[in-house]
Amino acid sequence: MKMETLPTTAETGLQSQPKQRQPRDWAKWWTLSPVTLWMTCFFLIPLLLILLVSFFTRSSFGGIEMPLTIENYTRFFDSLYIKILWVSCLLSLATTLLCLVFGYPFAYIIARSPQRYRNILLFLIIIPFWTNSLIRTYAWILLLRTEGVINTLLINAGIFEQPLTLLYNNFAVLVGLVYTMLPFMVLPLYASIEKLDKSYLEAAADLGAKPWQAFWKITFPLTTPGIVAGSLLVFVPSLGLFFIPDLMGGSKSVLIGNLIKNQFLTARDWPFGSAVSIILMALTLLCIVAYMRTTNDKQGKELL
Amino acid sequence: MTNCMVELRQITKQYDQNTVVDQLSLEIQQGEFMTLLGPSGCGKTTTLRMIAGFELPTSGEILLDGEIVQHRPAYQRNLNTVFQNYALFPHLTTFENVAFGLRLKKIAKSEIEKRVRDALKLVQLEEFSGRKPDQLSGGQKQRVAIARALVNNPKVLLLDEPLGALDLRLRKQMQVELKHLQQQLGITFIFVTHDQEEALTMSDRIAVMNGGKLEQIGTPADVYDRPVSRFVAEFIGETNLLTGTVKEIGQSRLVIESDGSALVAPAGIAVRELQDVTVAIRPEKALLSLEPPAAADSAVNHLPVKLVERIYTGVTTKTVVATHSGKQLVAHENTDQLLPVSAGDELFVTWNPAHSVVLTA
Repeated sequence: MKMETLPTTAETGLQSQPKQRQPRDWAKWWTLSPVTLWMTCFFLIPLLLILLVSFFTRSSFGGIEMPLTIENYTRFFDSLYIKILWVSCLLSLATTLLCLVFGYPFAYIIARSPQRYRNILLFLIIIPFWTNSLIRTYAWILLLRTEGVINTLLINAGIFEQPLTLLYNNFAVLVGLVYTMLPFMVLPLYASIEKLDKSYLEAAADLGAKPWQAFWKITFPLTTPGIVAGSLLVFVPSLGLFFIPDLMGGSKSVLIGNLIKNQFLTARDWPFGSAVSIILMALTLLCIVAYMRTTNDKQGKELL
Repeated sequence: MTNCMVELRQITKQYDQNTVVDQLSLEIQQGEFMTLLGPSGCGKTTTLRMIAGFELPTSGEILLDGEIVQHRPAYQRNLNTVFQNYALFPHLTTFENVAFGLRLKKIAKSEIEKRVRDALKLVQLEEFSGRKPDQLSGGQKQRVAIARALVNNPKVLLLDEPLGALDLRLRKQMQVELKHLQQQLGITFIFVTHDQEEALTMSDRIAVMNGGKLEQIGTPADVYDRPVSRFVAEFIGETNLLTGTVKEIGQSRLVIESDGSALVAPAGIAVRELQDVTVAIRPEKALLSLEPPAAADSAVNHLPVKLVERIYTGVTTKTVVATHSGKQLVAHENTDQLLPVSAGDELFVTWNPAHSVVLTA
């Protein structure tokens, strides 16, 4: 008797599982439907449109027409455009590194300050976001230009006789990018450092690690998820930001973001602009996939 | 003094206005297993953290092997800690966790390899050297933490409630293992716990702390059989406390009147007549009988009581009785030889006067 009853209960147990799952799945989709709808209308469809447009030919009046072609993609692999991509990547990389160098101490100090000051300090980091970033970029122009605040001060102090060329070069773009992107580095770093259990540092000290050794051997490796998340959050948007190179880089620095913007707005070559967008997106995706592959850490994925 | 390994002189620690450790002085000998025992918030962990170098005492001196160390940072003290939550580095394997201290000391690779293997062997974890902490069980993490500390050959090992997170069975096993390890290595252990049974099992000496102060220090037998205060008597083991007044101070005995009965206790404690005192009797020393002791046998203390209830605990039965005034006392009876009485019946509690402990504090 027992021998017979046992398998049947096991079977019914197996059968009931998928039955239970279905209604729950429906409920999940139902509650998610506003998000799904929004993402479909404003993200998925435009994205598919861009993908579609990138295979069309530009008409003589700036529209799109048949035939379908991959010429927009092959055109990108011209030395001129590859160079733009290369410079953009370098600038974004430099931005990311500088944000990391400036952002880490920032995040560390906030995370290690007394609880009651932490929120205020974080708040101070976020406040500038309440002002339009375009306006903040203009403020930098006022500081950096030839008759700007910095040059005036330097000349009046007698340090330089001629004003320095601080604006309309890659240096200016870098300053603008680092300034704009810094909070995106600080926030994930803060989250990561704040979570770090202090007893690890005590254990390291207990085992003979001087503070800087404890930092490199414990704090730094244990906050890598924050570092990687912050780096992605800085690197990826830096590639696409076009108004900072536009305003601060002058005509000399055309970055990939500007290239896309110009194709759509100035050259009215939508198919080529779309193709470059898709290429940029593919590159970005590659970065993220590489990150997901290298880190198995759940914490890091949560931060993204 | 010659082989005093750790000495605390008048250590005080204050946070804001709170005094957590108050004028604590303590001497711990080389090779001794010293336990700091007390309820949570008594300052035992803070004391340990000051010895380790994680906290700076507000005043007082800490001596480690004869040197004053309270201003020396933790990384310059030749002692190691086993943390309550183990604090194993999650990004490093068992091997690298244990090797951490040795690598910092720039020791040759081959020697590191050997010493880490030996340390892991000592805690029976050779098989697990490649695992990360989150792939280990609680007991295994515990052993890694011990190996990580011991591999550095510290003069003193500090243990901050290291067994608190383990289940009862494993805890009992680790208590014995730790004790054997300590005897085998001859290292001074300073062990913090709130578990009195653990303290009695493992220690050479126990320092009982309460409210940041040292209540009593002595061997497990000292603190169990001869507690110096109500706090120690109540905190360590079960005890019956009877309040009374000193009636007679003799050459070899004291007579204390409690609840209308005269109780005899050994002399040797500074009391004056009519002073209010407490008499402590351990439940296993209290005997139950149906008849009062013979009148001639005045050397036996006895109190008339009524049976309240019996609680079966295995070999012994906890028998709760009440005096005329309603004061409840506990006696341990041998479960095989229970007296033929039931709740409400009258009987007597008797005990040898030598087992009365008179407490003035």
